[in-house]
Amino acid sequence: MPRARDYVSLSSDAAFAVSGNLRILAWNRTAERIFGSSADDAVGRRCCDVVSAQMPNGEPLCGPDCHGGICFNTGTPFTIDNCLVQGAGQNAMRVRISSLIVPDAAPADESRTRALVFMHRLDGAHPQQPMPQPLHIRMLGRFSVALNHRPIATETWQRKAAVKLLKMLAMHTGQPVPRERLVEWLWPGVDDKRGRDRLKVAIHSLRQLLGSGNLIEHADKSYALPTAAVLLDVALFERLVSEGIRHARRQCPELAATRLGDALRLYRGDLLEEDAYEDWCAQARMRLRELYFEAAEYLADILMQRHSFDAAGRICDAALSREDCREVFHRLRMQCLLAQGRVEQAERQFRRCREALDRELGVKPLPETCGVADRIRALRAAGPSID
Amino acid sequence: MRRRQEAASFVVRIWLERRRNGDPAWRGHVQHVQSGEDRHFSRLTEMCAFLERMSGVGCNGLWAEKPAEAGLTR
Repeated sequence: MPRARDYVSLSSDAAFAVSGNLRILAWNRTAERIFGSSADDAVGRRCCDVVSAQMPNGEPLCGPDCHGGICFNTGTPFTIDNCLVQGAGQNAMRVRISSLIVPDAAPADESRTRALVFMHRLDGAHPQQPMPQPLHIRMLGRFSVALNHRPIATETWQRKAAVKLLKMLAMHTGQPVPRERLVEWLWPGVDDKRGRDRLKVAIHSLRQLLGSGNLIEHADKSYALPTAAVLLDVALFERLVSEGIRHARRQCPELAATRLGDALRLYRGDLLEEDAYEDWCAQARMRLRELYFEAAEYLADILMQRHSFDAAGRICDAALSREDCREVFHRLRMQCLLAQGRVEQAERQFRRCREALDRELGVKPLPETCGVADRIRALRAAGPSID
Repeated sequence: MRRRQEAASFVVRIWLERRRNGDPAWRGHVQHVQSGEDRHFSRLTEMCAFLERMSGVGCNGLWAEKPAEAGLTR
């Protein structure tokens, strides 16, 4: 009897089989031709290391925590009607992605096929169209860059000013940054002429290192990375939070939860963690951290209303790991635990809240939080918990 | 001789702890960027004490001046 993965070779579309851990187990001829990777190269690797897809608006689809993987592991077929995939030779193709779940496979079993994925090329595809936004920049957490989906090891660049310059231009993607401001950020206090000369050298290095001169625009004594060339995680994060909160306020919790969940997954850490003592990005870092807390609070609320207490609890724990004295997350966590009948843990959470507020702020919990603590005590007095 | 640091940057965040009833409960966080030192506060006087300690500039002295003298007007 043929195995599930054997069916990929019978498909006229590009097709591959993946395990629950998204490792490629089979890869057909059409996939070899379209993606330029042989079955020998592809099999055994994670699909996000071989296939790169993005939505028409530039939102990336592939990654270790991609939505497809979540669907496969929950037994839900994954479909995308229209997206762009990067084919051989950096060309973009418009495809429809569909999938077939193999029902009896244990999701965590790496050797067994969990899903078959099919990529059907759509009419009107333009094989010569370059992949939009060739430069992918991550600034939430540690800085990383990929050009046409190939990672660039910026940490090995000899000219550190070029890396810093790239961060500055990326932070202001789509906005011309005046030469004088870049000089002041890069070499504070240096005289004008020397600063301009140094900047010219840094720009030249950056263009060479990126291997694509036209990625940095220059006009009116300013430099800019054009929006069309850059996919920036910060911009995507801000957009997703804004859309998520708008959906939440319009009482569309499903859409809100999707957007906010995607946003929080993008927030891998504070902005440019390695530049913690740098002046120029400090304000943006704190603004984004507040935005993260706002998104986390909205999402935890929505998840609690849907009785997804474990998921809501994880959001609260992550927020508290960043700042232990954010009282609202202690309170929401207590309410989650209480709703699950985990009264002892809820009581421990309240103690942790009280200690953190006392240590960091010198204040007592708000009456709202004390009200939840009163309910916990009443339940403790009434009987045993399920902890 | 080590050059004296001429500027210090601070980033202050103030947020409202969600309250259904009663007065708003504002809380804050201030960070001295160059050293990474930070602290949370629930009263602005605590933030001022941190600014004083990190910068050496007395908040009371600054605020006692008229705005023009303190460089706060154009």
